[in-house]
Amino acid sequence: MKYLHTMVRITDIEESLDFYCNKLGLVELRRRESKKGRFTLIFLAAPENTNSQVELTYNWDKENYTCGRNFGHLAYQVENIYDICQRLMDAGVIINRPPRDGYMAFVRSPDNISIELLQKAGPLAPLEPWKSMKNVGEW
Amino acid sequence: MKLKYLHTAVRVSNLDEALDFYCHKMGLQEVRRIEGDKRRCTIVFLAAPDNEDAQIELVYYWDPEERNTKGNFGHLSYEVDNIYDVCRELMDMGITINMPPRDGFMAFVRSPDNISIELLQKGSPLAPEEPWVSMKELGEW
Repeated sequence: MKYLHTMVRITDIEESLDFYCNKLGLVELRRRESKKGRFTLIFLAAPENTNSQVELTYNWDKENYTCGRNFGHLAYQVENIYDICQRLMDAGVIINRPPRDGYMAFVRSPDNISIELLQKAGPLAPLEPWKSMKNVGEW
Repeated sequence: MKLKYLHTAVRVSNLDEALDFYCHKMGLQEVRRIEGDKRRCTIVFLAAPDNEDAQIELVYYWDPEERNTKGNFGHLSYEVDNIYDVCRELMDMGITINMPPRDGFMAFVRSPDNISIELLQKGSPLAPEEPWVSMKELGEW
C-alpha cells in the first residue's frame, strides 16, 4: 500500500490556492476540471516532497461545509483493489463504494473517516461480484 | 519556504476499534506511540509498510468530553526548516497564527476553510524567542 493524498473540500479556489501555495508554499502539481461532475480537483504538494499530496476539491455548486464535512478522505494506492476489498469485506468492513470500475473504492473508518483505495497502474477488468454491487451510504 | 509533508491527523473515539480497522483490516503498521500524560491522550502513528514517510496520526483522548467536542478530522502536518521564519512570513501575509511557536517547535494556522495546519520545527526545538514567547493563542485549531 502506498500513501497518495489527503483530500479536503474548499469553498473558494483563489482563496485556497493563495493560502496553500502563495502563503504556505505548496505547489500545484495538476488540476482536473469535470464539466460533468461539476467539480475542480487540484493536487498540491511540498516542492521537494511531491509524492505526498493534498487534493483540494471544489464543487461548483455551493455546499456549506461544517467542520466534519470539509475533511474529505485519505487515499491509498493498492496492488489489487479486488483483493483488498475482499479482505476488508471478509473482515466485516462495509464497501461503501465498491470497485465496479476495477479502479476506485471507498470504505469508512470506525470514526467515519473516508478512505479511498485506488488501483495501481490503471483499472483492472470489471469483475463480479463487484460489477453489480450497489453503493452503500455516503463516503 | 521549505516544507515536508509529515502526516494527517484524525481523532478516534475507540483506540482498539481504530487499530483493528487501520492495522488489522487495512494493513497499515504502527510506527510509534506517545502516551501524553499532560495532554491526556494517546497518539499512534501509522503508515503503509513500504511508505513510512507519509503517516496518519490517530489521536485518542482519554476524557470522553474531549472526544465529543471536536470533529473527527484533525490536521495536516508539515515539517519546516525554521518555524519562526515561516510563522513570520505567514503573519506578514495576513494569516492568523492560532497557536504561536512559543516553544520554538510547534505552531498551528488555519486554511480559509478552517482546516488546521500544523507546522513542526525540523530537528530539535529552536531557543524560545520574542515575539513568539509572549504571543497569545487565538481561537481553536
